[in-house]
Amino acid sequence: MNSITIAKLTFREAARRKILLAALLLGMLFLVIYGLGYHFIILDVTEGFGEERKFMINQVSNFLLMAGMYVVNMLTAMMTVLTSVDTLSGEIQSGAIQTVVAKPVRRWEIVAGKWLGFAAMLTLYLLFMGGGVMAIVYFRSNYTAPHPLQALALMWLNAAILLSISLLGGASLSTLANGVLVFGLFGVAFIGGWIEQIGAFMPDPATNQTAMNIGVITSLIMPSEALWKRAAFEIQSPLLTAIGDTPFTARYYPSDVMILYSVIYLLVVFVLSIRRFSQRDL
Amino acid sequence: MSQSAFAIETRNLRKVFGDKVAVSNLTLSVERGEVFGFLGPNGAGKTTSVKMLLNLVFPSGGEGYLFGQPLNDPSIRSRVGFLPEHFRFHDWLRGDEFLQLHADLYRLPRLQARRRIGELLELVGLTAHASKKLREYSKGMLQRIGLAQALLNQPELVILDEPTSGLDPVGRRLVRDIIRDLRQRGVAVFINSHLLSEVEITCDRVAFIKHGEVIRVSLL
Repeated sequence: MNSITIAKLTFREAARRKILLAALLLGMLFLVIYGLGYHFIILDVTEGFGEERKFMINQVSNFLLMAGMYVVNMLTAMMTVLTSVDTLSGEIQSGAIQTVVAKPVRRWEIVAGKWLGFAAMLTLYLLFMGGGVMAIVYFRSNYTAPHPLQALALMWLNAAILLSISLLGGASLSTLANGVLVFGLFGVAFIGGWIEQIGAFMPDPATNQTAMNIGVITSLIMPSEALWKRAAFEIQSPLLTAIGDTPFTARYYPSDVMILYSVIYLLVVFVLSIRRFSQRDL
Repeated sequence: MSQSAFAIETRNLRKVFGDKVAVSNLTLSVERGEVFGFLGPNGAGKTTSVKMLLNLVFPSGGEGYLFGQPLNDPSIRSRVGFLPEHFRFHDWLRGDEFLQLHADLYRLPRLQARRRIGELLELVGLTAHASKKLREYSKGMLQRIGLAQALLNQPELVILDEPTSGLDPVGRRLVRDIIRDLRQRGVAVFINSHLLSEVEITCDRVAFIKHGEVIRVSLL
């Protein structure tokens, strides 16, 4: 299967160009700093509280776990976009794609192979970083978030959507324009999510509703922030769920319908990227 | 396998980019086993024509066949080798890895691919450089390894776009010898070039192209 050959090539390129090594080393640095910070904060909590110690440790652990996962979500998104943004446009521009397409290969196999290669990379990265944060919290405080696997799956879906948009852009635009497109969409979703979150605190119901509408519309344009908010909801403690407001989650978390919409969004963008690449001149 | 007498056959093939006509009306046929020159000045539509033959560029009109199969049939390209003009590649690969990648794309069995890669590295004089990364190759060495990847599948048709570009006299001689050897083995070779002298030395027939149209086909 040619897609597997292309996927292996994509993965090997990341390894050969030291992208994997850089991600691994910086990821380890992040985990070390996070682990040290977490250790000393928990040390302080352990010493400062009496009978409520276990409850406080769990609450602080949950908050810091969400903070760690927030950064992991951002880093995974950045790594996915930065590594994939020129994979099609760069090879089209340089002409390196020509000898590949001139082989007995279907064009969809090239797009699918690249998608598979990058998806494997982002899966490993997310497991290493997200799993690392969760492992640090667990081994230091014996604390486990409510639904860690669901959260990781939603963060993966977010990165997979960004990857698919990056391939669609790469099949149509120059590398620079593609980067602007993907980060622009990510930024729109990010600011829309924050407007929704801040609007929820507004006393005026009309303002509140307008902010929510902005959040919903931006989530439909680009569901990345909605997926993070649902992932954060999956790992937040029952107490935070009861309070309803945290820096990482919205008062009204995205529904299962939004997740289904995101999966359909991913599939549509992936099919469009294949269609675009299959129809263009090289 | 198709029984068509022609390795390449096109009828009124046309390509328009926006309001620019790159190839206006390309009608030609290349027989199996012949070395065919495709000669014309820069900007005559030669490279666009070659790209249409390989489905890299989609025709705006007309029709074309390789061994009787339509150009958009990917399976037919398992019988074709191609060296593009301005050959670019994944330059972080080593020479042998690069050839292995393209052997995989041709779906050659591992053992056969290994043997073929060894033979071709020897043929193009790069055995000693097989474990070097392509970014360390000179322009001439890149052209040679590009030629090797075009021959991996023991093709029945080889399309060479300006094959001697960047080669020194020894490299040019090597290309001519390879073309002569391909002819002896009954392989059709389609050479796109703007150098009359090169076409005269190597080709059986030549088509002159101007403004994207064949203006004359001659025996040499």
